[in-house]
This record gives sequence, C-alpha cells and structure tokens, in this order.
Amino acid sequence: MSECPICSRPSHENDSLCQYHQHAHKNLREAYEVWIHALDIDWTSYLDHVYAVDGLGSWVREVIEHIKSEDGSLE
Amino acid sequence: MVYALGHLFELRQTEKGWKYPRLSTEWVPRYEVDKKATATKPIIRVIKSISKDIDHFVVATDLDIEGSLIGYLTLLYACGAEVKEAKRMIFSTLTKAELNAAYDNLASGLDFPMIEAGQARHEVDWLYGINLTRALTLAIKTASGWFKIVSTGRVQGPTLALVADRDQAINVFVPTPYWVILATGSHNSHELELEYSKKRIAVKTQALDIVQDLKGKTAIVDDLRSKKNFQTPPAPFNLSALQSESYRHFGFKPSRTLAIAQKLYLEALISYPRTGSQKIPPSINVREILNGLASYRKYSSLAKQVLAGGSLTPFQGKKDDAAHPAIHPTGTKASKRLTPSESKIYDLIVRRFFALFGKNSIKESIRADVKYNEHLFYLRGLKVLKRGWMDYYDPYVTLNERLLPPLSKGDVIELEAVNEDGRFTSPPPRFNPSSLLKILEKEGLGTKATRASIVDSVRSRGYTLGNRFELSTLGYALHETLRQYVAKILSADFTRQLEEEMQGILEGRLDRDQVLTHAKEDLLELLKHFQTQEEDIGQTLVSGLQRYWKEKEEVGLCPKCGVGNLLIIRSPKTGKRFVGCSEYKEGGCDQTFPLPQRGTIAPLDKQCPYCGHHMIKVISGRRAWETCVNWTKCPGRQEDLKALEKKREKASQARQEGSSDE
Ligand SMILES: [Zn+2]
Repeated sequence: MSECPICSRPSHENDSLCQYHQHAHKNLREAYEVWIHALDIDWTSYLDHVYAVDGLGSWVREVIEHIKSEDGSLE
Repeated sequence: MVYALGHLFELRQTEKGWKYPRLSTEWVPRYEVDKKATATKPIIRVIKSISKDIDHFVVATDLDIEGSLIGYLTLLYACGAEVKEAKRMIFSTLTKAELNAAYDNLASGLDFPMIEAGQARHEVDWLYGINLTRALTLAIKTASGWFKIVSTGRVQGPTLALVADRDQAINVFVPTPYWVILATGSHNSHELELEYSKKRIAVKTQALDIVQDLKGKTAIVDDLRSKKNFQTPPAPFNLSALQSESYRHFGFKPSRTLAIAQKLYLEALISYPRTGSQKIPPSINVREILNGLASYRKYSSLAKQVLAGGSLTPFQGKKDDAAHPAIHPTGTKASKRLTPSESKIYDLIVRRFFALFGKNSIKESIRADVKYNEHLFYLRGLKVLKRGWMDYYDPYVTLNERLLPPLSKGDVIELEAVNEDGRFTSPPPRFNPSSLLKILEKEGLGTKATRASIVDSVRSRGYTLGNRFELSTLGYALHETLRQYVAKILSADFTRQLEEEMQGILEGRLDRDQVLTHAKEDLLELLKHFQTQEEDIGQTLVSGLQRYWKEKEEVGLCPKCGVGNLLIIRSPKTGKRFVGCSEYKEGGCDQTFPLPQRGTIAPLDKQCPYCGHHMIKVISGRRAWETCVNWTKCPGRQEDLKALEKKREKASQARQEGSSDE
C-alpha cells in the first residue's frame, strides 16, 4: 500500500492522497466554481485568496501547501 | 440505617482470562474488580454485620434506575435479605418533612422493572465495553506486540462517530465569498439600520451594482406590519435544560452542573436533579416553597410578589418522568455557606421556579417595507409591551429589544450610507460539551444520568485534543478502524435499538433475558467478524497509533487545569525534554514534570497505582520500564529513585577513578 504524500496515511495509488486529503482536494476544486462565479478569479490567485480566509479546513490548507510545493502537480 | 457508596457490587466475568468473547458475568463486591474501590470493603462488612438481626428492610436509595439497582444488589448480596419482602421509600427531595412522609407511606415493594432495566443496562454495557476493548487491544498486541488499551463501548462508539464526522466536515471545509448590503437611512433625524431583502449576494459585481443604484437615493415606506407575540414562561427545568442553561450563562460543562446540582440536592435545597420531567405536579406544595424562599433576603421581594399574585399554578412543560418532578427549590435554608458555583446554579433554579408563576410576556414586532424602485429593505423593531415572567427570570432573560421611531406608510427615508461588505461562509461549529450532550439526547444515545460522563470520556481517553472536541490522531485511528471493520459499533441506530429494548423492560413489555440473549447474539456476530480480520484491524490501529505518538506525544489530561493535555515537549533552549500542559501558551497552566533524558518514551493509557498520575513507558537500549510522570515525587517510586542515585554515584566514581588512573 502507498502513502499519502501529505500525512503518510495509507492511500490507494502511488502519490495519491489519503481519503481525507482527497476529500479536501475535491472540496477545494468544487469551491473554485463558486469563487469564479463570484469574483472571476484564476486558480492561482484563488489558492492565495482562500488560503488566507479564516475557517479554511486544516486538511484543505495542507492540500494547498502541497499543491504549491509540488508546483501544481495535482492539477 | 446504613448508606452505600454508589455501587457496592460490580460485574465480573465468570470464566478466567483477559480474552474475548466473555459473555457470562456475576455480581461481586466492587473492591474485587476495582482496585481503587477500597472504601467499599468496610461498608459491605458493616452492612453484612448489622443485617443479621433485622426483620424488615427499607430501601431509601434514589428513585431511578441506578438507585434502585444499588438498593437491590445491596439487599441481595450484602444483607442476604428476601428482596421480595423489602419496602421502598419514595421521595424527590431530602427535606425532613418529605422524608418523614415517605417513611410513613412506604411503597409495598421494590420497583422490579427499574431494577431489571438497570441490571440489563449494566450487563449489556459490560459485554460490549469489555469485549470490544479487548478485541481492539489484542488486535494491536497481535500486530505489534505492544499492549496499549484502546477502549470503546456501546455508547462511546456512536459518540466518537458524531465527533469524528463533525471534525471531518470542519477539516475539509472551503469558505466561499458572498456580499451583504449594509445601509443606514434617516427619518426625522432618527438614524435607522436597514436590512436589504436579499440577504446574501453571490456575485461581487452584482453587489456593486446594487450599491451604485441606491447611493444617495430616497426610499419610501411601502408597507407596515405589526404583530403581537405572547410568550409563555420557560418550562420547569429538567436536567438537560438546566445543563444547557448553565452552560449558556456560566460556561459550566454538563458534568459539572450535574455534580453541583447533586450537592444542592444532598443539602435538601433542590429536588432530585436526574429527571426528565418538565412538570411540577399538584402534590408539590408550591406555597410552602415560596414561603420558604421569602425568608431568604435575596429572594424575599420576588417570592412575596409571586405569593401576592393570586393563583399559584405553575406553568408546565411537555415532558414527563414517572419517577421525579421537574427540578425545583425546596425553600429550605442552606445549613452552610454555598460555594460561588453552587450559588449560581441555585439562583438559576430559584428564578426559573419563580418564572413559572409569571404571566405571559407580550412582545410587539414591527416590520416596515422600505422601497426604492425594485430594491426592497426591511426595518425591524421589537418592543416588549409586558414583561410578565421575565421580571422573575432576570438576569437570565435575553431581550433583543429594538425600538423604531413612529413610522407610517408613505414616509420618506433618506439612504445615507450604502455599502457592500464581503464575507465568507463559515464551517459548522465544533461541538462543545453542551452541544454534544444535546445531540446525544436528540439521537436517543445514553441516559440523562450517563450522558455527561460519556461526553467527558471522549476527551479523557485522548480521542480529542484539549477542550475543543477536535479529534486527535488516536481518535482518527480508532474511528477509521471501527468504520472499516466493525461499522455497526459506530451506528447510532444499533445503540438506540438497545436503549429502546431497555425502555421496554422498564415498561414491562420485555424481560431482561430476552434483551440479553439478543444483545449477546449481536455481539457474538460482531466479534466473529472481528476475529477473522484481527490482523488487518491490528495493523490499521498500530499505524494510526504510530502517527499519533509521533505527532502529538500526548500523555493525557492535565491534572492541574483539567483542560489541557500533557505533552512531551523538548525545550528549544536546553534541548531537554519534559512534560508540559498544552494550555501553557494561552497563559493558562504551568504544570510541568521532568522526564528521563535517555531512551524513547511512550505514554501509557493508565494511571500510577501510588499517586494517580499518568504512566509512561521508557525504552532505553534493551531495557524497558514503566513509571509515572510524577516519578521524582511519587511516594511509590522513591526506592527506584534511590537505586538510580546509587547507580549514578557508582558511575561517577568509576569515571573519577578512571580519570585518576591516567
Ligand atoms: Zn493525507
């Protein structure tokens, strides 16, 4: 079994996220649709903006950090 | 007359071995099972010796499931009495008058349905708690060789699931933006706060357009509506309402409120607190209680006001409880000074009781529709016309009054400031002790007597971090494992079904054997399923535990503040490790303990038998030993400490000798 690159919990495929970080990543992508509609914003500035908002879930925060460190490899 | 000390007898397995399944039990004196319960030994001895020359027995324990069971087991196993011939005293307050009346009017026999239900609850809880905890712990042992007790139980499982689900929802939450329109207007030089009819605007440009449209414009009052609302007094307190109101006003967690109420009850100041009832039945002499309260300086004028009000019919709530009325003061004077917390709870109970005799309050709510073209604003006002019961329940009333100037249709309102304000959606709130208790009640999990301690146990077992019901890595490890392999234990439906069966015993629809047989069948099936996957379960738990220890190094609840968690911390200055409280940075708690500096340290899920502090395991080289965090002061470890001192001296002597040789 492989490990989640963020938290080292088990994950299904190599380099894929664990169930929790996967869920966080899915929510992050879905919320982007709401943000585009609201602000007409691109993905990178979306990540910057949402990262600064209080109330962002800690797993989502970790996913954003991971995306930035991996230079968008989850895209 | 003799007293018990809570339960004097407890269940024990009849077959030997720390194994599972273990399905048959017997009642034995508590000190034989629980090493800490030494105080039960002399009491059982006293009860046994004085029972020899007694011709009839009267049980006067609390009239509820636990109380009735305590009385029954004591009669059966300590007195050796004929339980069918014993009599029962029934009372809800400890005032002299009520106790005398209860003794003069003894109930003819014990309340066997309650006893049976109580026994069933203990047996079912024992079966699930012991077997599941052993199954989890032994799975870890098989997978890793470690002995780490991971406990769960019939109600703890679903409670953990509630906390875990909420925690996950918070952790994966992504806030999204929206805008609100903030507007103020003026009318006859009164400043007015206007509420835009569309509460949330999802697109920024739309919000900006609205602001552009409205700035500096004049709006018109288009419609005016007012409504009178009658509000009855709040219902008499049952335990959960008292707990939630006490959390709201004083921040007391439910278990603390219950403990304080229990003290007030034992002082004969209030009626029995573990009640679900919201009713004050006519048999309660409210006039006498009010007369009693009138002799308190603090309550005299309110009590007299109520007494002068004529009809002394208290307002009743909906919920009922066969055994006890709603919580109410007895009117008796306190024999000793109350502590500040006791005074608070007592005051809340007394004022709530006064409020029951108050008239309905009348509030007038007004809504004005204010229009400019297609844009609609609301102006809202709220005014208390008659306070009624609120006069009695102060300071626990929240009013939210908002006064409007006189307005009529066609009036002009100048829009003075109109702005958009960007906001974000927020995650669901984390549970606090009070909200978790409420949801347990709503889900039908646990009983009014057990819920508060279930809420505490989630925390004390390390499944959450600090006081905030944030799941710890250990909590996650356990929740994940249970969900993957034995999801049934997390299911509220499964637990609720058992609760309902126990209610059935209480109502005489079911008997204990039926319920037990059913519960054992379910449990066996669960355990069989568990056994076939023991290795996987063990592996999952072990890797969760490893993460847990690596990440948090949690030792357990801090004994000093009772809020923070003791953590293994390395000082950034000296590099030395020690145990400190997680509440330290908030300026809260300065509790620390020294640690041995060599070897690895693993917190253990048990307490020191000598001093009660948390235990740790120290693994150094090939040696491993257990000690407590209080090891330098613990009375049971001074021998170890001396031995250590000697070893050090020897070592330093050897070093000195070595150096002098050179
Ligand atoms: Zn992960």
